[in-house]
Amino acid sequence: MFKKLFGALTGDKQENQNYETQTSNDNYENNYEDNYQEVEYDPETLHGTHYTVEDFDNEVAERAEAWIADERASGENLDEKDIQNIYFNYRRTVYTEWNNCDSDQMIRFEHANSLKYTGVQTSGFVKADDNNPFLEPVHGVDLRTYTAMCLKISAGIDYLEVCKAMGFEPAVWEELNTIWPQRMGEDTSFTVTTLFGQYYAENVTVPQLENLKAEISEEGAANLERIKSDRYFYEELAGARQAAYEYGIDGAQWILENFGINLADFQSVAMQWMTEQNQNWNSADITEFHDYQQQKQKEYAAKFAAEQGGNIADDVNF
Amino acid sequence: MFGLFKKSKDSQNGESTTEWYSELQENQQRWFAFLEKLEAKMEEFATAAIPELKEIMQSDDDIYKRTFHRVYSGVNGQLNNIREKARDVYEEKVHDVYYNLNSQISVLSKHHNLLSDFRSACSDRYNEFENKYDYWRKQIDKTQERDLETEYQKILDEYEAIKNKFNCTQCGGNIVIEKIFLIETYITCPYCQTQNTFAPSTLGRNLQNIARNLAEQRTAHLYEAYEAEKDKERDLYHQRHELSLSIIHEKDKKVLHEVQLKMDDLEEQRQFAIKNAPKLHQEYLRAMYDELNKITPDLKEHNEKMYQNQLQYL
Repeated sequence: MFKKLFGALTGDKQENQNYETQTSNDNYENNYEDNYQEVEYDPETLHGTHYTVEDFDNEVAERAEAWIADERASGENLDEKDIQNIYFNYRRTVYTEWNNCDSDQMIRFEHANSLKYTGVQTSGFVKADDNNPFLEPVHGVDLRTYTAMCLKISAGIDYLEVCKAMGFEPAVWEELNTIWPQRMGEDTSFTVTTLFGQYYAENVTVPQLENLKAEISEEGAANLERIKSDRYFYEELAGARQAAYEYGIDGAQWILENFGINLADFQSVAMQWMTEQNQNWNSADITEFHDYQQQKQKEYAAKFAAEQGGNIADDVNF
Repeated sequence: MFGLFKKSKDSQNGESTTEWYSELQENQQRWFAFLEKLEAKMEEFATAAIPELKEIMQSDDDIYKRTFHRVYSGVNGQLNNIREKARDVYEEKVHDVYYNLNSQISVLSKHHNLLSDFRSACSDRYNEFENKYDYWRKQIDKTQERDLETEYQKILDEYEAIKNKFNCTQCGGNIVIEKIFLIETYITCPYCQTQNTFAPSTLGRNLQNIARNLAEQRTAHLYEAYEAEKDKERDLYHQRHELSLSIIHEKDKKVLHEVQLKMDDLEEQRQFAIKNAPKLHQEYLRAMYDELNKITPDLKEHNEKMYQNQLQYL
């Protein structure tokens, strides 16, 4: 019904808006009668396909500017941050209204459009643009290759071995390892950083490095597979690692010694979970996993405390 | 009939008031005693840990000071453990008790103030505890401070010592190292044009790690001026607010006028502070980046880009 009405309308924006308000009200009423209204979302922008992005942006701008004008008329001083905030809130309002969706869907939408609306990238939604000067290869080495090298080194392979396999001098590696991080710092859209994270999550490799494998035990390999597929197991180890640091233990080293998983592999999996979480934002799941990790952290903290003779304030009770 | 009704109501209130009130009093006393003990533990622990941490910082040869950081994390872990203990007990013995009773005792009841007094007294005491926690955290954080000027001087001294000691691997000619290199660098021999690789020492490489902190240390007074201006704005706001509260029931026109003048003056000062703070912030940033460029001139191009980016967030 919604789609047909939109299809029938042409031209006059004023009429459009009145209809939009009316039909969204109708929607709420219809929901009780027709049950669930399926909204189709564009797979890339996550906007509903029953309106155009231009209409959306215009609606947001109109509401935002009206509010801004009101504020200024009543003597309020608004700076750049305030204006961005106003637009941010109206985007949320209009999106939720026009799609009749829950907040999880709204957040997924925000992630998919974070670069366009806030100038900052979100992991899982980055597109590598060939024309971006920040992504220019350095000494012929692009970001993806650089990440592949970083992965090998964090896995414990000597950087000299990696340089040999790539066929260049250590001095070149040092330049790469200076310039890429510099770009990460300079890029205010965080494209370089976020893309690096995505490549890290994908555990990228290049043909020259394929034969360089970090030593991993059978148990380590099994545990690595498990943290990739079993989110609860991953969260348990993440909690344990955190607890280790709080007890003066090198957490990453502890994971390697007790579970055979090196830091690069662990962080790669961490990035995979984070990216997936961004792409399929679900606040109930997020809360559950957060609480689970906290619980595990407490359990391991108790173990470490016992090993170290208890906590300082164990004998102080209410 | 009325008399009976009144009596039973009073006695009902009287009995239950005594019950829950004595529970509150006991909780409050135990809460105060509990926090006092925790605070004593924090002090004892921190006082012992701080000199240890300083010692480790000095003796840790690792340029990333990893041993220090491990122990530092452990120390903060213990302090945090104490903090969480306090929080858990507050939740159970103050917060939950309050809300439980609050649902049973009407706000209009003449005894409700006993309940709210209980909560504010315990909450105020909790704030005191949190302040003490912050204090000890700050003291422990200070152990991270390194004598950067001395470390920097060592780097400069080493550079002076080695800059003329490099010889071409091909022809043996003397190559002057013209500046402190931070990473492996190719240098062309001025005599035979062979490409030599100069690898900086661990000390030389370390310059990158301490450069920013050193620059910040040298300009800390400017940063403090900026922070003080921000605090001033809040302070002026509260002063003005207090004055506005004081005249709520004021009828005397002369007094009202005087107070209003003071309020206007405070507001003018506050607006000035709001405009001035970003200026001070920029002053600090410019000075800090100037220092940074002096220390690592090789990174000037990158540093300037970072400075420009930061201006957006003033």
